[in-house]
Amino acid sequence: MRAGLFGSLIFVLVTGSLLALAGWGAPGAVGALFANASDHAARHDESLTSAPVLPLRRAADEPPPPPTALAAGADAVTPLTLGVVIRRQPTGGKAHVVRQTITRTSTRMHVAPDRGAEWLFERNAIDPRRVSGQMIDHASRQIVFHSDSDLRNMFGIPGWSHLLTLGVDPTLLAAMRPVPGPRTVDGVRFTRLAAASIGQGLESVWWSSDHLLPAEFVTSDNTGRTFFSVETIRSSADESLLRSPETRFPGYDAIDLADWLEDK
Amino acid sequence: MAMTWMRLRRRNLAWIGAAVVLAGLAGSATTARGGFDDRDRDDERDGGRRAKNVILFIGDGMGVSTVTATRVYSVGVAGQLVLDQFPQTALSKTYSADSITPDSAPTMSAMMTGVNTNQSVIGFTEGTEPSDFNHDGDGAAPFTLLELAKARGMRVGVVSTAEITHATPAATYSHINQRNNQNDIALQALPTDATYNRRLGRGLDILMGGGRRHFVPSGVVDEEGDTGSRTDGRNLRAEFQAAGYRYVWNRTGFNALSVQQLPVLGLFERSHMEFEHDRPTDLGTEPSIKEMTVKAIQLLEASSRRGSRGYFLHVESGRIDHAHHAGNAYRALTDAEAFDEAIGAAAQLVDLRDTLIIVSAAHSHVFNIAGFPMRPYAITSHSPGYAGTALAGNGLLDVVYDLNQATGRVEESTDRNGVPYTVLGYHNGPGYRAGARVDPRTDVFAGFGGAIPSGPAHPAYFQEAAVPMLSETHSGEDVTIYAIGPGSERVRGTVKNTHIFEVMRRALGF
Repeated sequence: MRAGLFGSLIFVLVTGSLLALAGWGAPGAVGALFANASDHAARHDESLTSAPVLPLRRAADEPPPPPTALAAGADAVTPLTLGVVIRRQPTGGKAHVVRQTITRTSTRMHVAPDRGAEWLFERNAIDPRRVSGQMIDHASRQIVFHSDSDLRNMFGIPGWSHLLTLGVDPTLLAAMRPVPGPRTVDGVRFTRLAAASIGQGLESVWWSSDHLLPAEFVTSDNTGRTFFSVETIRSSADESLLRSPETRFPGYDAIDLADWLEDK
Repeated sequence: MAMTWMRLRRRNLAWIGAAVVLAGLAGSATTARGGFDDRDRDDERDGGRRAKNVILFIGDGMGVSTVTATRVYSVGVAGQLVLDQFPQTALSKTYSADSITPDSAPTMSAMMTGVNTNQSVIGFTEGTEPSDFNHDGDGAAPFTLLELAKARGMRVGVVSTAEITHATPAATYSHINQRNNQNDIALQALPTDATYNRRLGRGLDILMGGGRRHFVPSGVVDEEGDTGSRTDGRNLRAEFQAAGYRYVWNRTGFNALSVQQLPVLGLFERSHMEFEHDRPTDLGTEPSIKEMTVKAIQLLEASSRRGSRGYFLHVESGRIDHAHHAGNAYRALTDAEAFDEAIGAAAQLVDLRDTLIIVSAAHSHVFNIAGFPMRPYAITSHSPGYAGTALAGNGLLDVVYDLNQATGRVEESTDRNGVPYTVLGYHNGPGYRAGARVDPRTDVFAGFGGAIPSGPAHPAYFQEAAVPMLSETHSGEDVTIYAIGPGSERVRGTVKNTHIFEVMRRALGF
């Protein structure tokens, strides 16, 4: 015990001498050590409560364009049921063919492929340029809602106008050259328009201005060419197909695209 | 669920007392479960400053790689996001009770209650299976921090860019064994409903985000021309208003909100709110996450000055996750950037001497930054041999350019077939290319059924994925916790995400 006390005394004396030798012998030197520690704590406290600096960020990007305006006469198109064939020829690959039955009115479109999911597209009730889509996936018994932004981002569909005309942009037609010799499909008359050059985009189209409808068109891009043709036209629409999918398939789960992707 | 809520209602008879007890037990309750390392390991010493207010920001899917990519994209590789300036950080383990890689339901439940649970389960203990598939009933429903705050007389708000009934925001105010039952979750926030979560007292003060469809009957057209999806025919917009809520759905209503109008229900989109990039195209000109955050803080602060005991606010950036699932890095980064702006606005607005801000993520994604892409300034200083191609997104939204150290030339990095590849990519997801890889700059990806004008810098570019899947998945790595303000000193080390609950609880002195 005594040795312990003596040892402590020696420690204090030696420590004091060392501090003095090191220039810490001035009055308050030990206090300064503690002050430094408390400064550090204060700086730490300060860092916990100082607002971050707002960084200088990159310039904002251009937002997506607004939905495509409706073509004249879009409100007046008559209900039709179309038998459609789409042939895709990838560059250097094997062609594949899809058949679809399309039921189209001025506000709704139902697409039933020969295999896979059905789609019901609906024109927006407030802004007719916009469109939403519901994919009816029979395999998973799910109805997957796609907003207008979902359709634009995932499928490149810019609005209802694009769907109504089965993917043909009517504003492009004005720049195309008419080719003599009309044709008819099930009584509907079409005229042919051709692009000035082929290789990219819309190459040629058989077009009915009365119905805002193509009978046939060809598009191409870096990955290949797509041939679209309407084989049959019926002047009526099966209204039952245009009903809400949730009504048609009450046992199916209705979810959004984001949640459908989350579940995959 | 009905049985569960009968049990909950019986418990509520003494819930104020139970809240304090449960809060104290929350950490120790998990320690008793052998085999799970869910215990919050922080010591129980109670030191440091107390917080009057707490704001919890969660970026859904905002893993470390997303934060890094957002930094490079938004402020440059050497720049600093607001997040980067937070003084306290920790790594957070995100596993759920039954999965190495979690979904947002158990992770947000863990952060809000301090108790880990199973996939798809919100606000129940791990004895609860999704949809009660084994029919053994649900487990206990630990109190959430929001419920505890409400019990202490604090104001509470929930803001999300996802549906407001989606897993992350829902885990602040509801208890349910299946996250997909969003129509039921909406009812738990409605004070006049039989299934109302009575722990919320008089109700949530602010509830703002997307998900209007869960408040509108199926077949009924809403304010933006879309239809609802409630199968019970109820119009919850009207029922919330009858319960005293101010309902807004567009910018005009949002801008006009004042403290006198609390409580507020803001539903700005049928489903999730728009991605930040797409927001300018919205029919209702919906507010940004930054605007919602600022508005929520202003209303809660003003309300606090009128006598409440501070506030708890949760803000979720919910769509970082959605963009990743789709394999679209651009929207993930632009939403994360907007999230950082919201955090910055909050940090500027509040008094950090009395407000604790915590930022974290629900989980990460299989998203990475690949190759050895050069920094833009380095490209300039090594111009000999450089082809002159602009580096999009600070070198991020582009193919990889690297320096050939033998020649001093900057060259495109290529795969074994000589084809360039992008800096950003995914381990799995819808962005797989079925055929041979082609140059990403000329790749018109038709994976979703449409040929979209593309190239890595295009907002609609879908990054390549190695494993073909319909959707990109979450990943199981740790995420970061960032903190500033009183109580933030407890954010350190590598912890389970339940620790976030403990940090908030202790900061508030519960």
